[in-house]
Amino acid sequence: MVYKDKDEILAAFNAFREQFDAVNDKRERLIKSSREVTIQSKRIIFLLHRLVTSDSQDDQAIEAAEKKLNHIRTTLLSEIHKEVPTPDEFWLHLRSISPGIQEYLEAVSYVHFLKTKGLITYQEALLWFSDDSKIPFFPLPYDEFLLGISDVTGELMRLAITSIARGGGRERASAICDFVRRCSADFEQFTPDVRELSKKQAVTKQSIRKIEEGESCAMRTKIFLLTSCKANYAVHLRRAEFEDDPTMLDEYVRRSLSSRGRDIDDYAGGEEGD
Amino acid sequence: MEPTELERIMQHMEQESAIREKMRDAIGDFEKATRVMMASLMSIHSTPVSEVAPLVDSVVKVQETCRGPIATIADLIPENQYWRWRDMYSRHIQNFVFAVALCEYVRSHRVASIQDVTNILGIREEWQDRVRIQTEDYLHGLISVANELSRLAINSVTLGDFDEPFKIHSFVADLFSGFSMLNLKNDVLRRRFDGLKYDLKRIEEVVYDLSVRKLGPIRSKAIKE
Repeated sequence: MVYKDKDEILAAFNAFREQFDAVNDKRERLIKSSREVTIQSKRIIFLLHRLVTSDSQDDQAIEAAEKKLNHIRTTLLSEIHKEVPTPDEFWLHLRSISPGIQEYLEAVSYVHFLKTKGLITYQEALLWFSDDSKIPFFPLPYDEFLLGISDVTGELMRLAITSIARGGGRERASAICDFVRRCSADFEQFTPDVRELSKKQAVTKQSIRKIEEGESCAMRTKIFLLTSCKANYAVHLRRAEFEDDPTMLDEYVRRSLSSRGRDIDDYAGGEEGD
Repeated sequence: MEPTELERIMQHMEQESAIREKMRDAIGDFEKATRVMMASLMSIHSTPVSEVAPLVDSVVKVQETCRGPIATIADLIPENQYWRWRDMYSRHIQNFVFAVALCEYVRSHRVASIQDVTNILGIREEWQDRVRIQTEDYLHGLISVANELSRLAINSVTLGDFDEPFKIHSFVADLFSGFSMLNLKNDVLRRRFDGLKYDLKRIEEVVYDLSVRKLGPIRSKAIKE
C-alpha cells in the first residue's frame, strides 16, 4: 500500500508524530523516576555510612535501610513497571532507567553485605526488583546486575577507611579488603561481555589500593606509637642517667627523633591518598 | 561469588555471545545484499528513463535474497527483545528501506510505506517483538532517498529528461511537509532532517532553471495554450 498522494503521506506522518511524542514523553517520565531512585538510594547509602559505627548499631541501621529500600521498590520501581509493562518496552527504555537501577542495586548489595558479609546473588537481587508476590517488575539484565553490584566496592572502601580511623576496626577493614579483592577477581572474567564493566573494575582496583594504603598507614602509626613509647621509656631512663647534664639529654632526643623522621614523613604521605 | 552463581552468570554470558556470533553472520549476509542493491541503484544517475525498468528488476531480485538472513535473525533473537539487538543491524535496515523506496519512486513516483518494506523483507506479523521495520529506520531510509533524488534532479537534466526534476520536486516537497510535522529530539534523525531542506533547495533551483527557460512540463502547457 504505497501512499497515493500527499494526504496519505501526511496522515502517515501524523501517526509517526503521535508515536514519537508518546515514546519521548514516556522517556522523560522514566528519566525522572530513575533520577528519584538514584537520589533515594544515595541517601540510604549515606544513612548507612552515618549509622554503621559499631556492630551493636548495625542491625538498627540495616533495618532502617531495608525499610527505605522497600519504599523505593513499592513506589518508584512499581511506577517504572507501569510505564514499561512489557519486556519489549523495557529494553527500549533501559538506557533511561539504567542509572537508577544501578544505584539502587548498589544500595541493595551494600545492605546485603552489612547483613551477611557476603555478595548478593542475582536471585536475591531480583527479589528487590519484584512486587510483593515475588513477580519481577522487569527482566533484570545480568549486565545491569554486575554493573550495579560492582559499584558497592566504592562504598566498602569508605566503610573500611572509616573503620580504620575509628580504631578497633582493623579486623573489619581487612575482612572488607579481602572481600573487595575477591569481587575484583570475580568480576574480571565478565569484562569482555559487559560493556562499561572494565571502567568499574578500574574504580574497584583503586578502592582496593585505598583500603590497603589505609591499613598499612594504620599499621605504621601503631609501630610509630610503639617505638615512641619505647623512646619515651628510654628518655626517662636516660634522664635519670643524664640528670646532671641536660645538654647531653637534649642531644639524645634530637638524635633519636631525626633517625625516626623518615617514618613520620611516610605516615603523612600515606594519609594524603585518602 | 559462589561458584554456582559464577557459573550461572558465565553460562548466561556465553549464550548471549553465541547469539551475537550467529547474528553477526546473518547480518553480514544482509549487509552484503543491501550494498549490492545500493551499488546498482547508483546507476540511475546515468540511465535514461526508458532503460530504468530492467535496473529496478535486477534490484528487486536482490531484495528477495534478504529474506533468508532476516528470517535467521528473527529466529535467533529471544522473545520480546527487539530493542536489545536492533542496534546490531538497524543501519542495514535503513539501507534496505532506501533501496525499496528508491525503486518505488523510480517505478511509480510514490512513497513506499513501512508495510511495503515489511512485506518485501518477508517480515511476519508474529515476529513483531523480535524483528520489525522501526519508524526511525524507515524515516532514515526516506531521507536518504530525498538526498539521492536531489542528485538525480541535476543528472536527469543532463540526460535530457526535463520532466523528472518536477516530479522529484513534488515528491521531496511532500516528504518535507511530512517530516515538518514531527517533533524530533536532538538526534541523528533530527540533524538529517535539517539537511533535507538543502536537498529540497537544490531541487528547487533545478526546477527554477528549467521553468525560466520554459522547459519541462511548463513548456508543454505553454505550447498547448
